Amino acid sequence: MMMQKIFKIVLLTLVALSIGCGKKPLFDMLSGSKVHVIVKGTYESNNPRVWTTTVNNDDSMGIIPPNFVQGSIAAYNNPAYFPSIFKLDVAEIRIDGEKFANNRRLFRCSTTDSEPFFDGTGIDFTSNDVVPGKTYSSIQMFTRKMIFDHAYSFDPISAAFLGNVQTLFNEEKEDGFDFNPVQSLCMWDTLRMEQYYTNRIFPVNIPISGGFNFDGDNEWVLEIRIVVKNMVKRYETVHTDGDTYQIYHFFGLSDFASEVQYGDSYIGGNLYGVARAYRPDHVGTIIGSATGQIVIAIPEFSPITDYIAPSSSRPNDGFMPKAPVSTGSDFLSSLEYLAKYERYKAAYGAFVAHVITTFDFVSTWDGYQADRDKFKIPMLATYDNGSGYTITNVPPGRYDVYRGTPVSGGLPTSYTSIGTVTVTVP
Amino acid sequence: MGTTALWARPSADPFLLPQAGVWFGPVTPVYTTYGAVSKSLGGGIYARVNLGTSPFKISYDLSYQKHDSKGVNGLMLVPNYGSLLYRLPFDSLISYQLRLGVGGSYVRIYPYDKGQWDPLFVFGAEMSFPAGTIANIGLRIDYLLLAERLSTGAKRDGHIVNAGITMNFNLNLFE
Repeated sequence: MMMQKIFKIVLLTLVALSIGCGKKPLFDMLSGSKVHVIVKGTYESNNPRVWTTTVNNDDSMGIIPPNFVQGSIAAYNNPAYFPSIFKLDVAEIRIDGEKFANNRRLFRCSTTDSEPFFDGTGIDFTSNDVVPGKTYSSIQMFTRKMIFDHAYSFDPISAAFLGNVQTLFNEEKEDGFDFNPVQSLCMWDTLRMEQYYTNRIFPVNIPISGGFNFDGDNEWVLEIRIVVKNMVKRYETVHTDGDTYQIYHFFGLSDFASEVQYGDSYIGGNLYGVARAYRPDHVGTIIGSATGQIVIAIPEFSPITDYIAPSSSRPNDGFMPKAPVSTGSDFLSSLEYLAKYERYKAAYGAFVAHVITTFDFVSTWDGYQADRDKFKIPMLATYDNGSGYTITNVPPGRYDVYRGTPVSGGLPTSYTSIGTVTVTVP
Repeated sequence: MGTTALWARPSADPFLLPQAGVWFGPVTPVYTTYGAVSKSLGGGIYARVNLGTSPFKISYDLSYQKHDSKGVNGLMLVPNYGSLLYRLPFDSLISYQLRLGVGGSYVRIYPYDKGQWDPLFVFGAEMSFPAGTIANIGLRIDYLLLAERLSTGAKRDGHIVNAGITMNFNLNLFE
């Protein structure tokens, strides 16, 4: 009797519970992510320009000139010395400071046109969802390392080739130079007290063009682009380890926006990115023809001037003298350093005299940096290789379309309007 | 002099008395739920009655657990179920029990901030030893299946393993 009663109670409870149960697939929502993050290393959002593999040497290479021929390293503008691989170590990606894609990821991207990172496809980055109904405006990408290979080491006195520069990647020693630390600051930062707590690469702050408002129901793609492809340049740095001095020639990102000069310790201010969000089932295309040119589409009425790369040169090349860098601990190097230091002291006196009479030092540099801060990467861009251009994954809306001619190691310096288009979903 | 009612023992085995107890311990998402949220601490209360002198008990359990994650995901559960316990026939001071339960669990997920009741099935095991005649102390482990595939046609169920230390009192309700 008692067992029967219990059985009835259990059965009734089950029936009651199954009627009261919800119909939402909560664990699917929890485990899966409807926000797919893809990371690209191109200025263009699809069909990027092919790689130009000519070695681009920065004019700041002064201790060991780039055309110096030593042993087998005939390094001047030889495509054979162009880096073969770009290595990226990302600690995590946050959105408006919130944890979101907090998985460390390492990427080895060959500098070829079939590599997903460089061919416009992008690489997947595991992410969680974001809070539905909230509008997000920026991405923080915490980059631990950025490495190009084909970095060489030279002796500062004899200029003898000492071998490949090696660095740790994925906890292993590999060929290449990690240029991430030297792009943590730009020239303007180094002139300020704030440089001691400024860091431009941990995280890299990337604006989300148009914002991102996740509806919670549809699949979304969050595309993050950092401009690496065709923006590669070779620099020089003095490497010291105790009293061992070496000259490194390494590849980093082109100083297209913030000029790097001889003796600079930092090459920062040249890493730009953009992010955009779209629903892959709710997009159109923009097609046309502009052979050999980059075509960009920006939201209607946006000023095109924000998308034109600022001129690279500094306010005044002779404005502020830089302290010399010692290239060795031997007698000759020390003498040379002392001589340079005397010259530096004299130049610094002239600089102070100039500043206290004209008072334009702060305003000139702040104006210079303001131009760099307002520069934006367009949310949509592509390249016409001769068969017409197609900008894909365009969210519906009205866009101003422009075309511009790319320059070596840089972005178009001017854009010509093609017109305004209305994109509707097919 | 007869035996006084005060000291009378209702049965030879205090384990057969109605019991009420608490448990707490690590709660771990497993299988497809593993990775979506992190492990956490959970706890709950329960009440049991023996079915006569048989090795079976029936029990009602109510517990609470909230899982965070390294990201924004979160999961809150209030499992609420009835179960049948079977005491394994070992002639030992330590009692071993197996548990089979059905019920419902309130499930709330973050950052969506959406919640609902889901059907719940529980498979568990427990070992306990008497701490005097009034209490038992033990260890329990439960596998919780939140059967959303059954109720909503979803692709995934929820899978959680709850473990913990437990203590229950043998209540002499009938004296």
